[in-house]
Order: sequence, then C-alpha cells, then structure tokens
Amino acid sequence: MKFTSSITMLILSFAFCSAQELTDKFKHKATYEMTWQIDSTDTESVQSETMIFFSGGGQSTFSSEGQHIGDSIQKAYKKLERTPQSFSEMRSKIPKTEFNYYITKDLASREVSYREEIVRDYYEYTEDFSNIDWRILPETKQIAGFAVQKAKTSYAGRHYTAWFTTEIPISDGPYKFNGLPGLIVRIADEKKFYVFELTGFKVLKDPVFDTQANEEYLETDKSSFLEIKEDYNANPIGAMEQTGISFQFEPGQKEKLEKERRARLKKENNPIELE
Amino acid sequence: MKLLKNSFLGTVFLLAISSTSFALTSNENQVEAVKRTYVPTTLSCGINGYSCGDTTQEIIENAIAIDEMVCP
Repeated sequence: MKFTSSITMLILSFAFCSAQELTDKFKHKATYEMTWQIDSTDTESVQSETMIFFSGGGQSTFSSEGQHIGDSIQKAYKKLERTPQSFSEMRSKIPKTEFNYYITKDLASREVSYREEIVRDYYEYTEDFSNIDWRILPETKQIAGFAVQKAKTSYAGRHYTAWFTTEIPISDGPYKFNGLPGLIVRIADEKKFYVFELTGFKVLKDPVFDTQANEEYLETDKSSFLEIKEDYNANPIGAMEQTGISFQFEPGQKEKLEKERRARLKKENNPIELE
Repeated sequence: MKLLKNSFLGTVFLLAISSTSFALTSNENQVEAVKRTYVPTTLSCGINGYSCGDTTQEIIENAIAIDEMVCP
C-alpha cells in the first residue's frame, strides 16, 4: 500500500510537465489478476501478477500494471532535470514485472497488435482476430457479482473457457481475447495454466498516461518476432553489447550468471502461446 | 540531458534498484538480504560504472536504462 502510494505521488508530481503524455481516449479501466504456471511439470511454480486493461473509442490496451506504471514514471522523468540521484530514485520506483508487452486492439477491425521492446528496439506484429471462433454456450452463473455466460474457443494451441457479462457491453477482454457480446470476466485454458480473473472495473474520470506514445515500432510478423526473441534469449549479453554497452565481468561472474539464467529459462517451459 | 551526463562524467555510476535490495520473508519482522551482482560496465559513450541486479536480465535492463538517459 505504502509502495503504491509513493508511486502515485511520484506520478502526480510529474503530471504537470507531462500533459502531452496523457490521454483521455480511454473511458474504462479493468483490472485482472493473472495466474500462470511457469513450469508445466511443477504445480508449485504458480505466479500471479496484476494486469490492466484500458478501453475507449473503439480501442483497448492491455499490459501488466507494473509495465504501465514503470513506463509512466520513465516517460514523466524524461521531462525533468536529471541528476544521478533523481535517476536512481526514479529507477527505484519502477515495479518489477514479468511481462513487458502491450496488446492493443481495434474493435472495429478486430486487429490485435502485440508490442514488445527487446534491448532498444520496439517491435510490433498484428493479428487478425475476425475469424476467432467463439462457441457461446447456454450456461450462466454469477462471478464477482456479475451475471456471466459461458463461451469456448481455442487460440495458439490452448483450449479456453471464458465467462463474459453483457452487464458491461464491451466486446473485449484480457490478453488478445475479444469478440464476445460483453466483457470477459474470467478466462482460463483447460489445464488452468493461464487464468485471468476480473478484479476491478471502473469508469475513468481523469486522463491516464499513454505509455505507448512517441515510440517508433518496427513492424514485423509473429513468427519473425518469435525468432528475434529466441535469438535474444540465446545471447542477451551479446544483443546488449551490439548497442555499444559492454560488461567487464570479473573472473567467473559471467559463467555464474549464465548458469543461473539457463536454469531459469529451462523452468520457463510453459508459454501462453504454444504455436 | 547534459546535466546528467556531466554529473556522471565526474564519477562512476552505480545503478541498482534499491526497492529490490531486500525482500521481506513471510515473517514481516525478518528481512532477508538478496544477493545482488555488480558488473563493471562501460556505457556506449564511454562512461564507466557498475550495473547491478539479481538476474542477468535485470543487470541488462539497468545498463540499457542508464545508457538511454546518459548516452542518447
């Protein structure tokens, strides 16, 4: 709570000089708790993170809350006079997140854009979701105070069950999911490796940071993006050194870091998209 | 921009995320120190210092963040 308050104060203190970074196009904000199992063979490897969804003007954006807050702080900071002390303080306010992507949707065209920064490059690929095959079922119940209805679909190698509510007539939801007659309140794959649950929904009165403004994205397609990411994961230090930054490791330091990184990567064997 | 760069030219940078230097255990009265790695780093504009983090990814992200600020 204390941490959140300090972030809020920091954002507010920057707000006066960052008006151009604010947008009032989003009219609604939904919060989802995402839980996922990192290692498909280890039921103990479950993590959770708060994800946020903004919607308005026929568009939406979805990201981790940490990513949104971190980018908001960094964008606001760029407008201020910078010193080593203020920079260090700014970095200390950035929350940790496991997800540094943004997913934006255009509800009219049902185009979904996936954006992610790798080293210093911002990549974007677009998918057409007009042919996503939802099967709406008659089953209804109550979740989080909303009357919800069941629907099923498959995406990227996983079979999902969603519960949507027409009480919030926004044809959208977490991650890339959209196209139902109301907001998705809960969606999970059949093995419950990935679960998104609505934990909050509100009408926005004030503008929010447009964290994706002013970035130049390199257009690519999904398979090329995955190749780029795989190349990065194979040698992240090499990718960073291509930018001109170099590490002078102490003896054994690089090997130790690499060993730990490979062990971590081995456990991260359960991505949300299998194909 | 220039101010930050000049400030760093006179010293070395030490970039660590202070909020992650310590992690609370399940008992809030106990504080468990998390081991951090400090890697000697040269930014793209030649400034020397240390980039710090608990993981390779964090160390890289910190190095890139300070490089973007100091060496545009």
